[in-house]
Amino acid sequence: MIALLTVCHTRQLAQAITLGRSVQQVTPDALFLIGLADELPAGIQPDSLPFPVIRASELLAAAELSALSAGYTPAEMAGALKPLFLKACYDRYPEHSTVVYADPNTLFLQPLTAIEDKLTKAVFLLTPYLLQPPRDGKFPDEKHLQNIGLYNSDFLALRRSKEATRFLTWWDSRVRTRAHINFCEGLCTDQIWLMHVPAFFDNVQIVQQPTWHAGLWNLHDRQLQSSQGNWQVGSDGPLFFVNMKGLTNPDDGFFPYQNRLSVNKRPDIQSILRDYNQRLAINLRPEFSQKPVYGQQPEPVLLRGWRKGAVDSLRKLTAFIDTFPIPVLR
Amino acid sequence: MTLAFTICSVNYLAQARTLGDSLRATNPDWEYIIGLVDDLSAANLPDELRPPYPMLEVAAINIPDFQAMCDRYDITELNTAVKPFFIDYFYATKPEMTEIIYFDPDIIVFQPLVELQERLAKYSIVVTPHTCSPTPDWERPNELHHLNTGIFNLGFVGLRKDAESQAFVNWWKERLTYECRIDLCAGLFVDQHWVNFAPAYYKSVFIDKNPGYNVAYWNLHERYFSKHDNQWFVNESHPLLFFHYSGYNPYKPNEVSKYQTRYTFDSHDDRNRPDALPLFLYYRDQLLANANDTYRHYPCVYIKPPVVPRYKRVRKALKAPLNRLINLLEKRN
Repeated sequence: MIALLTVCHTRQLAQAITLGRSVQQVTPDALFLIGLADELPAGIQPDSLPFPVIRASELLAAAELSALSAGYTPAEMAGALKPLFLKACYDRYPEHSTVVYADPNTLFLQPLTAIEDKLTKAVFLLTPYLLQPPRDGKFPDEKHLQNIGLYNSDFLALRRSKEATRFLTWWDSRVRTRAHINFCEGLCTDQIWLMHVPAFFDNVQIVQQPTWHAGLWNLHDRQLQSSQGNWQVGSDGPLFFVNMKGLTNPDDGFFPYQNRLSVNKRPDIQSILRDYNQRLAINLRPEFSQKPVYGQQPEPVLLRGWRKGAVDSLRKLTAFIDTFPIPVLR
Repeated sequence: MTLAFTICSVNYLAQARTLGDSLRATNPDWEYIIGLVDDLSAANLPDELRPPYPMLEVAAINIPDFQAMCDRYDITELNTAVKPFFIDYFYATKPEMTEIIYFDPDIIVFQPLVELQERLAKYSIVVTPHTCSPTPDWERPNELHHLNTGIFNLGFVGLRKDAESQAFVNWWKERLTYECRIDLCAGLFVDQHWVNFAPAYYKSVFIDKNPGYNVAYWNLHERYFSKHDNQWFVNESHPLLFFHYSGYNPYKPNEVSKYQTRYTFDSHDDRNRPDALPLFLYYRDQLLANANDTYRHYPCVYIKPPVVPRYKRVRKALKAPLNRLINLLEKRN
């Protein structure tokens, strides 16, 4: 049996519920859980939500929670708590042999048995952002991926085992206090730590199927077709799951400045987005639009339009001033 | 047939010879070539300093626009950037070589590498992680350093000649032509960091965790040494296969490596690693017997004088108004 967990803030609860509904649709007996890296607004009772919720305050003492919150942005905070939520899910539901993490922006379109099939051999499943080198000079390039981590931590599957237990303990020991984004120090949320997984743990499978985990970062390589309500990925078969991060809200995720994929030239992506937005609309509630309680640091400012262009040019100019050779005057 | 090769400049020929000697003793049917990032005619080595192994100068392997690479890179960057170009040259010119193994010059091999050949019968690319288990503390190097510089150590890579490894080498060459730099904030660390992509891009990559492989300061915390019947073992269970003496200075025998802070060979220090000391003393003796004292003074023809940025204050003054403008534009509305 599969337990599938997502972790989010209150403002993403509609996405999380949409994910949960999609899981229910493809695999009705799967257990879907929401880890809330936040507090619920006063008006919402946990049992008014269609899925069980684990709250951050159940897992950590108030003092630790507020100390972490003071040092993190909301996105870092959700990352910092992810291993802890996954461990809680793993510990509380021992009868579930497969434990999956999926980002709230994910939508599953095929039965989760595909995960269990792979986990008969493997203990861990990781999905890389890219399965082949980009063939252009656009962004995100491979250097950016090195900074954020090559395996997308919006998805992770574990088979219950000693190795998985060891992983969860290690991941939490690293991530809870080191989920900051600081490329120079080798830090990037919970995600970059996954780079160690194939080296530290046995039976890690890096999934190289284009039907798994389609998203903003790889759709340039994957064409979608809809036939009788089923999405196909090129000639590779039915689309298993798609991640809408950065597609529904371009400011969300690691690629706000991506310039490889033009959604306005991709009717297939527009169409699946329309489908997703319809599913999402049903679950939107005004009470959800709450500022995150945990993660007190401000999110980085995103520049758009002429501001972005101006700052990029100014930075090029300062880099030039730093390096241009000046002859020595005596 | 199997080809093993290394890459170095003349100043590291004692290391390359020591590696060659160890290969000749343990894997005598392998061919061994020293790729030389240097110019033999400029060095003009006396006969007694000419290694008993074939040397291949980098100028001879026809790297496109090699001069521009020399201008772009410092000596570390250049020595690492040429790695896939040598591999590609061997693919093209030595069709009888079915496997190509790269070793850093400061490695020595202790045993026949039979298991590696078996791996290469099944897989196209074999790489070794710096460490196969979490690091025990935040001394150097720890997990964060590996995140910044690469999970796998590229002092070793094993390749089977096939379409898959050729695709990998082509991609690696393309990247290293311009971006074999050290710039951690920009995600760059010479040739090594790039290889993180190998298991994501290619289907036939084997991450070999045999604790006898690529033993070095970065994995001493998970590997302890003992000697039985004149053979070295790792953790009593695995024969020591090859050791990588990265950052070791034979003239500072109490230091494990200039790049690490976790262990010492100082018997008064509780971080002492007496189990590893004989392995290092053995290597020191080999290096000194192979004329390390003489080789190390040869300057590399590709070395450029380090760039000293001048007029720092003038540059800072020029940048100040620009930086103020950037801050203004980045302000929250």
